[in-house]
Amino acid sequence: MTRKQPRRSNRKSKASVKGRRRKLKWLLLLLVAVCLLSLLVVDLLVRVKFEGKKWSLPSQVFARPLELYPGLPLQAEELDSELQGLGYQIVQRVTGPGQVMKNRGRYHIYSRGFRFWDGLEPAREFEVRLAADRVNQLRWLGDESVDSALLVRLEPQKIGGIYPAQKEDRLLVRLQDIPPALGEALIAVEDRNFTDHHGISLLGILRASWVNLRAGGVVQGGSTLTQQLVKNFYLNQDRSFVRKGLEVVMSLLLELHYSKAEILETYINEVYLGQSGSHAIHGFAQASQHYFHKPLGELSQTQLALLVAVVKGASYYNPWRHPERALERRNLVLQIMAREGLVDAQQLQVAMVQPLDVVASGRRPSQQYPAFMQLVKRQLQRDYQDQDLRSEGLLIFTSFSPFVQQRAEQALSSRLQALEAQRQLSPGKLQGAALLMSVGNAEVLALVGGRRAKFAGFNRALDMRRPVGSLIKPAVYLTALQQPSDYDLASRISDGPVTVSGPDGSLWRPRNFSRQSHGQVPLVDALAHSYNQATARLGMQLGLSRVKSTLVALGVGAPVPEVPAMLLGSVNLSPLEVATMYHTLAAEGVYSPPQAVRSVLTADHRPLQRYPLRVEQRVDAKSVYLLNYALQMTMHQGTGRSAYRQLPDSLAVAGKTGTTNGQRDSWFAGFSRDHLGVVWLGYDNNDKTPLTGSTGALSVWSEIMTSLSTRGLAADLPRGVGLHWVDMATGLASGENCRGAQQLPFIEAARQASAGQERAPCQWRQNPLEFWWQKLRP
Amino acid sequence: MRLSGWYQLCGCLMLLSLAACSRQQIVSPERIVEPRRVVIPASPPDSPSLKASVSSLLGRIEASYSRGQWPLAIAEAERGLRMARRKPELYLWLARSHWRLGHVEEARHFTQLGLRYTEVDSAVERRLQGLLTELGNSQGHR
Repeated sequence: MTRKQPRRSNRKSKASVKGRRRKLKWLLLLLVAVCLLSLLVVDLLVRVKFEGKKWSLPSQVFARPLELYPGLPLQAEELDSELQGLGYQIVQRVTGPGQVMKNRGRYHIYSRGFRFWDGLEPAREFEVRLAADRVNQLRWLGDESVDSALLVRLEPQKIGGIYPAQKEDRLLVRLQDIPPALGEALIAVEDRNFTDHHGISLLGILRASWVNLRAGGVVQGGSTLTQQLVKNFYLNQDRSFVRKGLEVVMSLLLELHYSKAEILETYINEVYLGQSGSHAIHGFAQASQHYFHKPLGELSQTQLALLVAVVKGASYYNPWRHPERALERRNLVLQIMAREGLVDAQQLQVAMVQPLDVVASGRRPSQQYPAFMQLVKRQLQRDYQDQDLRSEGLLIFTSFSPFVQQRAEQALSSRLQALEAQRQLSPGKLQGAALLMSVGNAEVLALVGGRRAKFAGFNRALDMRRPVGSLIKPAVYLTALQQPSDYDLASRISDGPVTVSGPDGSLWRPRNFSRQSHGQVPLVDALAHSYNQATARLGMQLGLSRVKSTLVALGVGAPVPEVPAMLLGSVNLSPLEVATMYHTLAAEGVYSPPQAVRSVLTADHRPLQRYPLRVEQRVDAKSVYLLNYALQMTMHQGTGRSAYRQLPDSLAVAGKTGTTNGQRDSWFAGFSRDHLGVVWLGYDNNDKTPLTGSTGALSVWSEIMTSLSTRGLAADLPRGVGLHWVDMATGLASGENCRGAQQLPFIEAARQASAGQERAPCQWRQNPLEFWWQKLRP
Repeated sequence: MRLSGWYQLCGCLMLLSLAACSRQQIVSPERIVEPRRVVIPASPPDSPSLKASVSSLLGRIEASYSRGQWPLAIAEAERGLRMARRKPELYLWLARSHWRLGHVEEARHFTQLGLRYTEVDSAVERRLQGLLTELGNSQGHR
């Protein structure tokens, strides 16, 4: 028994060892299997992400391209601003795209070329001559074989983006499109052995470990470019052993599956290079626009060196916040480039003393125009899903004019400050909004949503609805003028006190702003001087529903209460709605819906959608001509006349002031041949202001219009309209040489129907012989 | 001869008396306060160079239309309207292109708008009138 026991226990222990070994073997096998499986999973992850859609690309939003042609009204200032916005380099000799040479009104420009919805606009070399605020001459230089059309489009400025949820801003670039010096410098600085290693560099890791050990902390990374890509593209910024292990494995797998060129291209598009507000700047192409406002291909060696310098730490080497650090690092990069033979000693000497040359920090485009971007998004959201706008890299072309926007922002901000100072108001409280449209197509050129235009807050130009006061009056007079057998501009209406009783027995007694009545007045004067009593009387004669129909025809989509007070503007509209209404007047009765987006292209420049011009004749052109004549009189002798303190007398414009009860809102809407502008001033809390439409909004509008290249209203009479002399005191027909006579437009058919009407007795202004003689003289 | 001399003398005397009357009216103080007569300035016409640019663009539009690239013709005509909004030929090409694309209502609107800017009895007026008649007879797509 006693001898048998050890044998048994021996056997037992042997069996248990065997069992343990077997278990261990299984465990090892299991471990290997798990490892292999994990490796397969990791491999799959690496390949799926690398070969699939790598990034969510933001949509890029562009301004309108500046079209140049002989005869275009254009100030030198506007062309300068456009070229500066596009990052054109001013040079002594033009050698390539993106350059301009200026010499006393002559611009020698080499455009960059761009693919638009309707095709490629090639890079072109041409000369523009400006004279008297116009393009006087446009001449091709260089290649003579180009299309001879005297029309050239500059590439459009990027004005913003619609970003993915992770707020990454990125412009993709292919490896063959990057300057060779960039790739070489990047490899020289970040990973000298990039072309030789298989994803990791043991030597690099050992060197970094030694440096870190001596420093007592992590001061140097031994990562290759591949590892950096893996860290940024697949992993996070954690510093753990597991993450580091995964990084090594993934780097090896990446190198196993893909070429060095593919890895480098992905790195160049992935690397984090800065921050623009809440948006992260990724990739060298976007960084080039961010720091220099130029495409990569136009960067100098020193600028390329700065981009490579920033790779090490975009925040630490931020050239705006820490210019000394950035300069030191850039110069180190330049020295490494010299060591590797990428620049020679002489180039190095010149480059080392160059400034950083980054654009002014306030000129970074992605955060410039939040109010207009809201309008763009609203228009696009009708046709596109939010996810597509944020991830598909769409190219969105708009009607936005950066120059007009700048002018509108400046005018609003400076006039608000001046008004507060003049009227001793609490500074910074008075608010405003402005909107500029192109006449004829209702394209929105500029939009200012508040006095802090760069702040993406409440957009007053789109979302604020306030009573419009006298801005509504043109609709009342247009309703009358559409009945030419009953009304013309000389028709007389009483401006005496008026009382209207409501259905509930309440009485409405509107008063003139001056608290005075003016007796019988012609319609043209009643509108030009904005008489409330005459307008209320006329509106009641016409009928509220007819006036409302005119408002709807003009494009007012907001609810209009059918109450007498609506005749004097108790209708709440936004500046955009007011602009839509006045655009129908400016376009001679043709309604067009307001537009901000012209076309959309896919990320690879394939046409996706175009928003064509839509027109609809809503109101008779002849009646609108008569009304616009009265609105021109408003500007010359009525409530808008102060505009001509700033505008040249020769510029024919039409417009209307608007002031609401208690002077809570100061409005002005007016137009020239090319531009329509609407301005609102007031307090957000609806407090009273000391401003009328004339003393407030009109001053902003005039300042904007003065700064634009715009043409006066066309004087051509539409068919069926003729000019006749009228005695303004009686409304009877008169003559040119008669006292108190004014020439007014009339609808001929109605005028002829009342032919043989009584003529006013004429008191000559001038000796008739002298008058006839002067008329006969050439 | 003598008779005609008398007529001439009488005529001169009458004119002189008229002139004297009017002078008296001008110096009357209550009439000096007449309000300023408003003359709305006539805007200058488009420059010849602008017309040349638009003509050159019209050539392109016609070529696009002839190739059957109607959306392109529309886009180019809209570019033209930004340069010269009152050029009736641009409306003609817009209307024709929209019609080709089956947008009859748009075609009609552009035709009517173009007619507004034509000169009486001009070639473009006749073409627009013809198109309007065809559109009236149209059943929709073409």
